[in-house]
Amino acid sequence: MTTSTIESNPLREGLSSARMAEPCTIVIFGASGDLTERMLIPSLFALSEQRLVAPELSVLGISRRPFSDTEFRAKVKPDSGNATNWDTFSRGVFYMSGDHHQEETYQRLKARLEEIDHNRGTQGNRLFYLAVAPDDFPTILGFLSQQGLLDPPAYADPEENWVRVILEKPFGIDLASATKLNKDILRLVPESKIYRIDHYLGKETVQNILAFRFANTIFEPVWNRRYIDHVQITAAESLGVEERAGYYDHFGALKDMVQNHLLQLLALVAMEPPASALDDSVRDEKSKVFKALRIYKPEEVAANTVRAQYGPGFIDGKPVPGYLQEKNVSPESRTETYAAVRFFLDNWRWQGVPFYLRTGKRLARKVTEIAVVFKPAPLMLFGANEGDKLDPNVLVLRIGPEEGISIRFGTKIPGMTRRLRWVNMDFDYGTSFATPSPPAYARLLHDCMIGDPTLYNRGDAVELAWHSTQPILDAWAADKSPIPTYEAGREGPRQAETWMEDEGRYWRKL
Amino acid sequence: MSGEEFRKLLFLKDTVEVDPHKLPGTLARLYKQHQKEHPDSYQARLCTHNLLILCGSPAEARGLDRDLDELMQHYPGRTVVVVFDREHSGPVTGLLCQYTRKEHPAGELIGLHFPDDGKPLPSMVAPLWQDGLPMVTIWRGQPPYEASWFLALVENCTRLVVNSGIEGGQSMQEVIAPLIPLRKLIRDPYLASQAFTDVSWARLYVWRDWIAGLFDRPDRRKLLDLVETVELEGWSLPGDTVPHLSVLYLAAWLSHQLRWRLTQVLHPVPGGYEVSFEKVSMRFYTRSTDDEELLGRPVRVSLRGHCQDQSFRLSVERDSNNSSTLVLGATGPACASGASGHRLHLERLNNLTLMGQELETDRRDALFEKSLETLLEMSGSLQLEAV
Repeated sequence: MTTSTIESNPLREGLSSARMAEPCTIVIFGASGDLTERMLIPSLFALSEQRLVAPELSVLGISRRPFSDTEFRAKVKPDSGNATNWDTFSRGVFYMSGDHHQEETYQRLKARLEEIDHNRGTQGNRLFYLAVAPDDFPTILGFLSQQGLLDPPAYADPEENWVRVILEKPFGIDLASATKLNKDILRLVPESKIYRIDHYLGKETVQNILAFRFANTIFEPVWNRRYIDHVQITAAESLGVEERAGYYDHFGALKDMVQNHLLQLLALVAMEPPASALDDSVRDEKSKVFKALRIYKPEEVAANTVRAQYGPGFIDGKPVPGYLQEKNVSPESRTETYAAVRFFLDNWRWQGVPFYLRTGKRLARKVTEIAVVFKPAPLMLFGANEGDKLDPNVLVLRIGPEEGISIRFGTKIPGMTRRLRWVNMDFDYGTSFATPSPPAYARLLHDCMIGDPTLYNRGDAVELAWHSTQPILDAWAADKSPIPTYEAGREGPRQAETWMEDEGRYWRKL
Repeated sequence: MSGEEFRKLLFLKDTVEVDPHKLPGTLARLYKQHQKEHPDSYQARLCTHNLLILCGSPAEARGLDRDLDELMQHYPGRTVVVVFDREHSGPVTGLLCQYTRKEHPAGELIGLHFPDDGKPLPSMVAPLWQDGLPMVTIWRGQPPYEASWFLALVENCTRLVVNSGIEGGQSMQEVIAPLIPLRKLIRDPYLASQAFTDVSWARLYVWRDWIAGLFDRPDRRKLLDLVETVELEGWSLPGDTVPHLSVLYLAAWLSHQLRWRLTQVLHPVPGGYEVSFEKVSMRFYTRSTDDEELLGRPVRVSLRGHCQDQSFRLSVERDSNNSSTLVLGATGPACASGASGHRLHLERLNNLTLMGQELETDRRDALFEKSLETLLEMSGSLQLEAV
């Protein structure tokens, strides 16, 4: 990793900002899109204000729309931040109009990059950010390869300088497309240069799962099938499909959330301790988790999943339409807006422990959390009546909206009786740390610039995640029975509740 | 100073008067009362540290009210501020203010108005500390290094923060003098588990970061061995030519990190001071200001030399017209880049940031200790001490 070159600066000793990124040019394909304006430029600007990127950092946006450098700078200027700093930063922001399907664009790109290297001292370090449809990835990479742009230029030092590629999600729309995409891409660029982004992994609290598990010895001894009854991973939203209806109707909850974000959370909860946090060990361990995911036969899917669509209802006291009444949604749509899946991991640590993943739109509340539900104590010593069941201990890792960690445990109520009361021990990020968390994109872009792929998805992991979800997609596509509905603003479909109750478990309240 | 003046000095929120000798019981009672008033909230208490701030006089506590109020919002913990006031007669008096966050008790700010020296202080504050949490002691003025009660406080804290540069000095000896007892404390084998910070050093963090940033590019790194002169400039009062302690610390850090061998100790030269190393000479200049907040802070650091017959200059400067703008300059080999004239607006490091920084640090700062040693060597004080 190139971090070593920074760390070998003797004046960096004792400074925590040792991870300042080296000078480079970030080339954004699809630069006129929403992502550049909303996420990428504000994140890079924030990094620049925090001096986490070199002053030489340059950004070159490419898309078909005609803009001058000045117009592009005005278009992407963030609402917040200091004016002096923006003037400084924006001097390194450029634009080039071009069709990424045309060879001529790449010839001009090559010349422009050399000019930027010369004028701004970016030394041939390049990061290509592909914020375009996944179908276009191989085309762009093919042209970049043809022009020799996937290697540092001749005037750069091949040992010190680098070229990296960030691929924006979705990475494929099913197993076949993801596999083909991987194959097509890896023919052109080695895995070591590819960074598949999932902004979920850049969230501070998601990263904190690793710190929580592997920096605290008290949890590891009970983190297994012997003590854990089941795990619930929830990503609930109160919003509907909004402006994404056209996209969402082709994807649905399973592909939009479960296949990528929720399975990533599952991997972080279930993985073995990595040998190191600095190399590929974390990604190796995550891949092992995906390999252990049980793949359902078509006839097993119905018993292990629930899908549903939201109907009309109320959110915050206001009436909202049902999914089929949303703009840009087909009235015959069978796309699920709610998905719950029970996954099993066939390995020693987790054999027999169900991982319940659920996600949905227009649910009662926006909440993302991981709840680890422990087995109850084997013997009931406290309680009003013999045979009373004890509630289990629950450890909750809250990812949003109020990030934190809580543990539920029983304590004796003071007095002559032997009754218990359940209390929560609560840790809240917002109240415990003065420093706000950096935006997920800022963290991930910075990681890529310093050559740390830990929080990016590796090709094998993406394919393995699709392996476990594809049979569900296939079975759902084949099942023509009516899709259950749930009232908007509620906890989800009744079927999901009974599905859990039949196993003697219950969903945590949203 | 009257009781009302004392309250205004430290507190922005409502306070209650407390008996300083019965504080542990009072705090326990208040906590129970809070629980009763919020029966539905989680019975959790948010605390990350204990903080003791000692002010040698009411003047040294000036400006603390706003800093403390913000500190309590950002860092949940118990803070005790002691203000020594020789004009205060009668017993020690105490004021207390509670802080909560989302209905959780999140610390108390306790002010103690002390009439005399601190002899009874260690026994008064010891029962207040929340077990298992770090205890940081900040002394705002010149600490009474030789007092036994002061040593008792240091022995019981995890980190001692002083500001050796708070009073400046008319001569180099005066500037360096506060470092001698501090060094003694750091080297005391009985205080091996305690950590120490000098605010004059701590506020250099960003400057060290900026200077290091000039050499993050691997191709620039080779210039480090080719530096011939270093110029350091710092803000000072009109007429002062002695560099401020912070600027001297910065010079010591640079020479230590780059392993420059001292050949001539700090000495006055026309317009400033100079120190010589085997291949490098360092010059110190002062720039006049009346702005108290700027006093002692560096303004500019320039490194010059030659590489392949070409001269180079790398510099970091806070804009003279706008002290909150950083300008990075670079000319010469490996310097034709977007970094030249790079301007960046920066927030001034305020006292709150510095206090917060200390609360987040939990071990000895070896670099500080080495820089302190180097500075004493640069000034010739170690040789004098040996004589």
